Amino acid sequence: MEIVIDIEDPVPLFSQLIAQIKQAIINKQILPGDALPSIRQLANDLDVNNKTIAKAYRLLERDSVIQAKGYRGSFIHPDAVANCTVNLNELTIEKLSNVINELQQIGVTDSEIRVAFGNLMNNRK
Amino acid sequence: MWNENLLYLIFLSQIIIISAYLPKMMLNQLNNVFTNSPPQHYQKLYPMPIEQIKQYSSRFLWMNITVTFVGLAILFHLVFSGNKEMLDWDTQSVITLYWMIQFIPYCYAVVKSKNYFSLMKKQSNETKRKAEFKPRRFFDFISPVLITFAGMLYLCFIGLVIYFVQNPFDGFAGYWNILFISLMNIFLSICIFGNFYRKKSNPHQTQENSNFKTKLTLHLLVLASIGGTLFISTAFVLSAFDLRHIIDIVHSFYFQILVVFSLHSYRLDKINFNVYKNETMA
Repeated sequence: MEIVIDIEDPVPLFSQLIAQIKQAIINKQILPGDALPSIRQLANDLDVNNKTIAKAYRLLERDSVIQAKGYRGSFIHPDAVANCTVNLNELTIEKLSNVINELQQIGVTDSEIRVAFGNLMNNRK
Repeated sequence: MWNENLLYLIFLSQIIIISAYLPKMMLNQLNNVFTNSPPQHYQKLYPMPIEQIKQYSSRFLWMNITVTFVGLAILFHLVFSGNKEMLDWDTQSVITLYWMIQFIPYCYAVVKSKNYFSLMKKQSNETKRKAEFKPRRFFDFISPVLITFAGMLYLCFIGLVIYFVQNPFDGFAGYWNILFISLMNIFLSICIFGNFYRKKSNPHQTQENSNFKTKLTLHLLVLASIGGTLFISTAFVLSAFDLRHIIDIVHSFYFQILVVFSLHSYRLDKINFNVYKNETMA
């Protein structure tokens, strides 16, 4: 399987990478348990920063699409196919929209919601 | 007398192989590329005008011709002066020094090719980058048998040094030899690691060509380690048996083998030149 990134594309490089890996899992081009190339290898081959690949892998791990096994490297998660279909971005937007609707119904203004949200995010550890 | 004649012959072969035959072979391959992949059809292959490349290759040729004449002069001096040592100095040192001089044109070629690829990278307007999504395993590139052999040889070398520490011969440097070979192996290991994870210098190179180059370089580096250990071990054994006069011959022969192995494996005809074709032709 080949990864292709476009450096001129407005979509961030790590997002292009995540999308292609998820697509490959859905298309069964890579299977649960398959090993992933190391961060250094992929970064060098694509001529991008190590941090870009590390970020993509971190987000895939958060979504349980891949799993890190210490020094042995990263592997495709056993439940990767199911987890690939869950879109956390969409889920976040849906949940936040519900909360905003509830707040607006009881009369909270948009600016109050923004300030409260900003404060909450800033004070989180 | 026979070993003197053998030394003349082996030194002559060092001059011819490294400074005449291999440069000629490299330039022939380059000319074939010019003929088979002309600039009008393979624009990506020529980040600079072809005349400039020809100028560099002609400079490389003249440097080798000069080095060949220097070598022949050293050889004639040895034959006709009647001295036992080259340049009335030390044959082994002269052979090593001359080998280093022979490397100057190759260093020039390496520097120019690095500039060439960086220019190619700068001029490349491709926005898409591709990579194989498969982990690269070290042993996919090099046989474990070869690595085991290199390791075993290193252990045997340590055993040999320990033996000669107990039964020394004149001029034996003792445990320093282990340090020297270990440093050489550490340096080669760093080179192996660097090559295994190297970035593609050529933006148009296919993954297949890139893997082939990595495989070749790793093999050469491991063979260099094996060759270095074997050479020093042979020199010990010859010294211990009071056959030091043969060491000079082995020395010159070792340098030739090293260069022939390194350069003969890099063949331009194994490269896929289709990736450099103009878009309209491809």
